[in-house]
Amino acid sequence: MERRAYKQALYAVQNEHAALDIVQDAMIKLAEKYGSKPAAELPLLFQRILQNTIRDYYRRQKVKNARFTLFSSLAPKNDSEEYDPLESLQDNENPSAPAGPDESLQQRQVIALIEHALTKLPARQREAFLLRYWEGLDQAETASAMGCTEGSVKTHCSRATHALAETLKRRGVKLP
Amino acid sequence: MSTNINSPDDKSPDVAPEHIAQMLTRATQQLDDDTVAALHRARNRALARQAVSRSVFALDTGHNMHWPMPHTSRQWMAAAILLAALAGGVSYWHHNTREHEVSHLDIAILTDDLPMEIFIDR
Repeated sequence: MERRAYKQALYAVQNEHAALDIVQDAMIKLAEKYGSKPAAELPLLFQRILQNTIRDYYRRQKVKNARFTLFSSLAPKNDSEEYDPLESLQDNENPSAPAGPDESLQQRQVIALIEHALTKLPARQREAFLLRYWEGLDQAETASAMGCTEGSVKTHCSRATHALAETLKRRGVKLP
Repeated sequence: MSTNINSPDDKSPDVAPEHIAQMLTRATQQLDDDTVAALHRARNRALARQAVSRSVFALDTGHNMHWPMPHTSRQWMAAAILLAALAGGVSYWHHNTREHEVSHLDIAILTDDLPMEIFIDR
């Protein structure tokens, strides 16, 4: 559970330490406030708390720095060049050598591409996509966790899926 | 809550969202050891807090003060039963005392032996 939560937070805030803090805060809130709830209710409650904690982080960052951008840590050094996450993956042991075990490397590259594309999605689209398709919540549960209508969830999910598919298509990636 | 990945509500262009979700799940297996250890510590910390908050029959006001307030529905129920029993006991005691006083007065009237304080306006 905490690994997925960490990844969700990381996609949202793009900062490893902040993501760890968010997950820890969310788990502590869940344990302190809802520890006595039935186990079946905990995953949805945790998702609600996690999303709220991420939103709180956004708010605090806004106050701290008006110029804060979500993708600062992934932004290219040179603005004129487009950032390519595939280029950031290299064999540290032997940088000049050709890629090692192809399947594993290719998978890592595809994952890096998907994760990068996720960070580029608008926050609400990413949130809806992850809750609905990754966490496996149904439409009503996703709407409840996000604090919006089911119609909005549908729209966000559809746009997110199209955007991700478009990115993968542009890169010539075909998922099995 | 279902653990299955739900099928999309409308047609996606080429990629099914569940395939993307599978890749994301694989990504969680590639976290470095430090991060996994930090997450493990965070989980244990949260579980320790849960144990503390369960054992305390109190409401934390946020100022390091604890008022005797029930937390769970069971505790509320126990508190309600305790209060009802207490109220019943007080009522019974009050009723008994009054009856005792009245019977004393009746005896005094019948025996013409009224105490002085009965004539004093209290």
